[in-house]
Amino acid sequence: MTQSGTGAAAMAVCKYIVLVLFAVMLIAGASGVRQSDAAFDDVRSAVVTAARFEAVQEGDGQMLRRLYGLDPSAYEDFTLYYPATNMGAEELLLVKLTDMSQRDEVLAAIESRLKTQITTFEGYGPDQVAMLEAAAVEDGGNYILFVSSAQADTARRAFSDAL
Amino acid sequence: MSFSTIPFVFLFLPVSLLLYVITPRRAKPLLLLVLSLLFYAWGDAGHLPALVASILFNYFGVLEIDRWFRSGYDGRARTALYTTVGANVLFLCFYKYFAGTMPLGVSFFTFSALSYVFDVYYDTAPAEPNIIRAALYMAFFPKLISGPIVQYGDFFDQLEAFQLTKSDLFAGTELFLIGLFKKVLLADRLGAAFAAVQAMGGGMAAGTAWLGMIFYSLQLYFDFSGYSDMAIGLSRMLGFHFDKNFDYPYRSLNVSEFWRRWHISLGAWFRTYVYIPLGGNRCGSGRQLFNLAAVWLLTGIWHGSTLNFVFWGLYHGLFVALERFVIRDRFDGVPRALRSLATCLVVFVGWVFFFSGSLGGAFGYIGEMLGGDGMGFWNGATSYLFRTNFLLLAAAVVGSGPVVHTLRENIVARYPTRAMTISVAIFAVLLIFSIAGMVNATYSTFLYFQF
Repeated sequence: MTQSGTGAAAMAVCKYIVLVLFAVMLIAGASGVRQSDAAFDDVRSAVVTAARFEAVQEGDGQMLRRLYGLDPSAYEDFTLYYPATNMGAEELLLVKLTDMSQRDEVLAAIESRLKTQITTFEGYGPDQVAMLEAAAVEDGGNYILFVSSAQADTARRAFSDAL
Repeated sequence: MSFSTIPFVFLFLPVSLLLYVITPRRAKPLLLLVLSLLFYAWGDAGHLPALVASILFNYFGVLEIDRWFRSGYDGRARTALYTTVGANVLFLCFYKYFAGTMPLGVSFFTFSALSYVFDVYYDTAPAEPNIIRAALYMAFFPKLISGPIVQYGDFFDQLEAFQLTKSDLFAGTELFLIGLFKKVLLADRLGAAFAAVQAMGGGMAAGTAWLGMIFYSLQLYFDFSGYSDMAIGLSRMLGFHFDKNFDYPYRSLNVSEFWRRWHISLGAWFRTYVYIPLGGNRCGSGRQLFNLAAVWLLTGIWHGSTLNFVFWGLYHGLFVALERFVIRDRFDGVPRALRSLATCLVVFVGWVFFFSGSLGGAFGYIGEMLGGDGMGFWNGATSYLFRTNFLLLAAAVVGSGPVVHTLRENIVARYPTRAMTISVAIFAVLLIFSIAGMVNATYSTFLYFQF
């Protein structure tokens, strides 16, 4: 084999070393990618019970679109509770993703909703602002949770346990 | 990290330009590479190893191919091509269809890498032995996240110059600002209008649905062409010249022309590396149809894995095939305005498959456009949407054509000195509005980042 041929073989070896190292990294990292096979109803029940809402009403797909700009048909399942009155800040959104690529858009929608709510109550609703600023936004892999409640921390723990 | 954010415009960009100016020419490639990797890490640090792995793998793969050819082992070079390309395709498929999350811009930097591999194999351009320069081609930050997909053969000779000139800096800055205005002042507001239509959910008048489709179609154009302008403008500031990626696509007279004006670099990539190697037009009708089907199927899949994207790709392929084999020049006598409107109708309806989460959702929306919700064509909500977004729509329709550019060119030609002053003033006002938009906006990502 000529010198170029030896060099080509060396490049091939380097190429496959990179490939193997990358594959090893992927496999090692795969254990960190979290996807829960918990039933949606179980997760919902756990977080709604833990949140102990005082004044909310359940929302449908139309309300999901209106409040978050999300298409309900794109997700496997969702539960939405929103304030029963204009002075309320209690809210819950639980989404089970169909595809992990939806994660970023759901999180962005929640962030936008949270910002809108805080802006709405700023200046005249300090209790509501405090509740919203302490809201829980949890990324459970294929489950995303947003809960604004006096018991947000409890709901967060219930969510983790349910997954 | 996005170009249309305060941290990028007022921190990353000026610091990068300053460093680029003061860095000795020999060290400029390394500086640009470091900046590119930092830029990527700022937006998606978790997937930086994937980008680095792709760069290294393709660097060694291309050198392997090159050295097999030099030593006369053509068969081994071909094998190296298959393994290198195959691994890239598997890498892309893994992240798009199986992994939980996708590296930012994975479709773009993988297609750049494939261009490098193919161009060296087909001897369009030489292999780059310097790892910094090779990596810079694949990771160059202006084009890394969302294109344009610059083919290696069009880029490699620019890896020598690294010259910064005043004319490039000014021209690049102007183009960058135009892109910024398109994104912040038009695309984001059209996106808000579209979100208002989406929030209505099921139960809208047909006219509302049509408005939603128009809002989205214009948003997508200004969003993507705006980003492309910013990317090409940034590159120009750094002394790199890239071809435009959009050429007023909504004035096209047919779908085939549309694809010569929309996302030009992607169309060129598929033409160079898929359509022509398959035989292109240089074969019988049956084979040509097969070649077209392959390209449009891949185009759809490139954009997304769900059926609605596959359908969208084949939908466009069908019209291209109809124009080539059935319609031909039959409509050449029809007024251009009508042909352009008809093309826009076909393209805009196609975008319904783009924004719908599913094939069923897309057909459902089209049903709403045809009055399927039983709420008539025009109601109070439609009037409200149209009235509150009329100026925005008018600006978007005018801005999507060459009128503004032509008008500006004519004024500059007639009153060069005064035109410069007016230009600077207009740009300054638009920049202030854009900054306000960036500060105030809920950050809305570039639509094409998802690819």
